[in-house]
Amino acid sequence: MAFASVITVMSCILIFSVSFYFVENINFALEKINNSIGLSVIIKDDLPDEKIDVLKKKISELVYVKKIDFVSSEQALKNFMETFEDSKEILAGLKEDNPLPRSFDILLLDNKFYEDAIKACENLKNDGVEKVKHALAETNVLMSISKILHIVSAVMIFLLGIISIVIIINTIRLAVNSRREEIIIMKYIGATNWFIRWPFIIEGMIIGFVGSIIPVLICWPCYEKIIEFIYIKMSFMKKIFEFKSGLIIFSELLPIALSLGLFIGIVGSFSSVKKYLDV
Amino acid sequence: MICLNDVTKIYDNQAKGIENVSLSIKQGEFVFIVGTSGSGKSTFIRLLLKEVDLTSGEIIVSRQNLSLIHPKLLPYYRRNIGVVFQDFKLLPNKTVYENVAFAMEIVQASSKDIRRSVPAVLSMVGLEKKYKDYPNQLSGGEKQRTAIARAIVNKPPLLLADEPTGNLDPDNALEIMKLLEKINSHGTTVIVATHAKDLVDSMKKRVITFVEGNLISDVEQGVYDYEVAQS
Ligand SMILES: Nc1ncnc2c1ncn2[C@@H]1O[C@H](COP(=O)(O)OP(=O)(O)O)[C@@H](O)[C@H]1O
Ligand SMILES: [Mg+2]
Repeated sequence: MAFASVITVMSCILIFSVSFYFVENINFALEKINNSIGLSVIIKDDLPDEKIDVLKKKISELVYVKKIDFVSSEQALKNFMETFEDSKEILAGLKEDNPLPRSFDILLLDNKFYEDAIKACENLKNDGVEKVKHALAETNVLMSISKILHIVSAVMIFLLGIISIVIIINTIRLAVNSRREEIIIMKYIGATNWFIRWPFIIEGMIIGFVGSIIPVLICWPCYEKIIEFIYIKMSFMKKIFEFKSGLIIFSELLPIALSLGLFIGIVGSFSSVKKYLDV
Repeated sequence: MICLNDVTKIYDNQAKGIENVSLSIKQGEFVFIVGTSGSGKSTFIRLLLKEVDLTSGEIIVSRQNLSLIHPKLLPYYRRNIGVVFQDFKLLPNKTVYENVAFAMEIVQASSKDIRRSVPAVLSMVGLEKKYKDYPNQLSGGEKQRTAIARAIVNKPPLLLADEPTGNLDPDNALEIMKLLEKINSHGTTVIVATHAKDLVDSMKKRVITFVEGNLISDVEQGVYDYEVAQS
């Protein structure tokens, strides 16, 4: 009967672990995209070079600015040419008369400051800011996606937890049921409730521990294998998608899964025994 | 030692267990509770164990009012009572020795005490040679002796037996009764619920008769009176 309980806990923790890997990776990707979205502050053409440093200092003084880089006209052109490598010849003429403005590339500590940062930079018009190019709409979409994802994963984990507890209570109840006679005899002889309960609690803990450690240990190498497989079969994935480190996910998952497993085991055995103690 | 004042037990389904029963039993007595099936004998035993709660009245056991015992203290109350059933209630996967030792483990006796007390009680019930056997290797009489050994190993002042000979042939039944008498002779109060007429008649003990939950007669050195029991 303990075997059935271990299998039950294992399946629940396994489903949980697999979802955990998915959610972690999606969050990881979102975070990366989110972190690479920045602002571009276009500098007025007539701003003298010596004033540029003053402006740069003013912008970097904003608390949420993580990184600020000056992009000269030449650098901007170079970047532009690189992006459109195929049309080199057509663009060659631009070199003579560079129309691209000077600018600052700015990365923020967190994109929740995005709107504030845009406003703050736009307020620096008198200091030489021509305009601010931004991706506010895109950032907002990303932020709401990750918010929804967080809610969905929280709900999923909660539901999985409830389902596991219900299943485990029933499985352990069967185990306890087969020892009903023993419990009844113990009650007649004068055993305290805790004396009767603790072996079942210990059993529940062992079931929870074994049932959660095994799926967690299985998931990690499987994850590494799957990444390897994807990178081999679809090498382009390497460029567009970076998987989160298996070790990091494992170290995050392990304590969560273990406490979930132990919790399920203890709650399951506790409530299964309860019924027989009121004699 | 035991005192019932106008005790009534009505079960949840309105079935009458016992009704308006008053009696008292002194320390060291041997008492038979007799009556036909359904007359309330087991209800009486269960009330003394506080396995069921009474509907009205008052039960005092060893100066304790059972209605006032806190649920947390119930196990400690039960340690003063040995109990034996018709179906023995032995654990099939434990030997005779282990079944008896189990009762001492439950009250957290030291292993030294267990090693001393279990063989002594097994020889008292005549099972010193069978201590390694499992219940399914024992006769009915031997099973009941094991159950009795388990009930008295913690030396309770009160021993309750509900139809202890119900599953035994007459010879074994008589031996069990003799054993209970022997335990009683050492000072333990013994209460036996039974409808084994011949045994009751031969023992010449106090006999309390229940009819449909009512106490009909209470006689010192009595016999099982069919007339009374059927009335
Ligand atoms: N757990 C119970 N629930 C409902 N009714 C019960 C229960 N136990 C006993 N009774 C009823 O109480 C009455 C007395 O039963 P019991 O004390 O077992 O009698 P006896 O042991 O003398 O055969 C019977 O009518 C029986 O149906
Ligand atoms: Mg009965």
